[in-house]
Amino acid sequence: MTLETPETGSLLDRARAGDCEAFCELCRVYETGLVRQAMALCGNATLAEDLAQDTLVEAWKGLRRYNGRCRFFTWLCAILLHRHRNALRQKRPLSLAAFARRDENELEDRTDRLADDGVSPDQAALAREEAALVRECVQSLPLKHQQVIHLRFYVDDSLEGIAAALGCSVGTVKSRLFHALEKLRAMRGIRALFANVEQKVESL
Amino acid sequence: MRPCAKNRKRVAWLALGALDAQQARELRAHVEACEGCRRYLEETSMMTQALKEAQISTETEPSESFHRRVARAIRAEEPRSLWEAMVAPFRTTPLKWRLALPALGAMAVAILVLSVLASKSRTGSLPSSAPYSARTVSASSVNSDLPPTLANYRLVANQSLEALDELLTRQANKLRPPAPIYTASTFALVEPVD
Repeated sequence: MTLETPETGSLLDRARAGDCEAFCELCRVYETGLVRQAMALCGNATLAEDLAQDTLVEAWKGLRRYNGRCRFFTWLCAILLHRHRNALRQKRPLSLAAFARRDENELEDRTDRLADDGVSPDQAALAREEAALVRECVQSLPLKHQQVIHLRFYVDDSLEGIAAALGCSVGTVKSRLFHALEKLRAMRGIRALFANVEQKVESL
Repeated sequence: MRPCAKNRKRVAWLALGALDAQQARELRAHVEACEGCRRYLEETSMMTQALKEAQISTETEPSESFHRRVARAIRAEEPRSLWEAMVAPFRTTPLKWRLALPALGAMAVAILVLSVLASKSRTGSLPSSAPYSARTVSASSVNSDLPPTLANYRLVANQSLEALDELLTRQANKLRPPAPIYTASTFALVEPVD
């Protein structure tokens, strides 16, 4: 996702100089992407908007900390992940309920979308199950591992950008990615998923 | 079959696209020859592929009122409080806790050591040549009235000359007779001399 343009750069400069209106304009550029990221994390539209709003307000308050070494959207997503984890710690039962609702809603959405694309309902349901399983496994990782996986695969930033957003070195990011993959590999759900894939490959 | 222990991380990074071209080329040459590493690369690549496919939905849109709410919340953050305005310049420089904590600890230890040394130098130590009676006088009694003996003066002088001066002044004041207080009744008692 590349949202940075000369216009956003200029807005960002003005916002960093303390121009509140420039930051509000900047929010207009990034808010859709941010709400989508939040939706993927908490699975409920209301919660996702609250989370995205809190993230943008916190970004405004801490804008001086943004050093421009990563994309602005990556920096916002790093704040979003922190806030999401804090929200989960404070309101765990509510969030888990939201996760359950997300699965039901996503099943319907994904099935409908794939059906429109000419994919059979069985394949659509299977794809949806696999995606939900993978995301659940990522959610169960420790925060530091969850962050690097999320920023690498769903925000799609470079290792240098992720390192700058998280305030650590590239080596640390690579190490965390490796350990995150090792933990995912050890999860039973992922192993079952791979076993299915291998069976499919063999049967072809 | 297991991957080579020394190449395990690098194979994972290869699957993640986290190696430069030269490193990737060298590792691929090894992977082709090593069954364990090849298997590990296949599994890791499958996992990274699964992660990529579990992409975030692009259909979600924020509600119409969302931007208004965000803008209102951001504007509500202004004006900043006096405290925030004061600390804002310091926030631009991120504090490196790994460096700051040991430095703070070292400062605390240094302050502790200095305060202990200062208190020791203030109280001082008794001279071994002092007579027993003098050595038994505690440091805290220096400020109180000591009997006017040579041993006590010597003890106090060893601690500080100012303390000796203070002690002598205090003792001199104590021995001086009180000044007479003259009142009207005092003069009334005096018989007029004819």
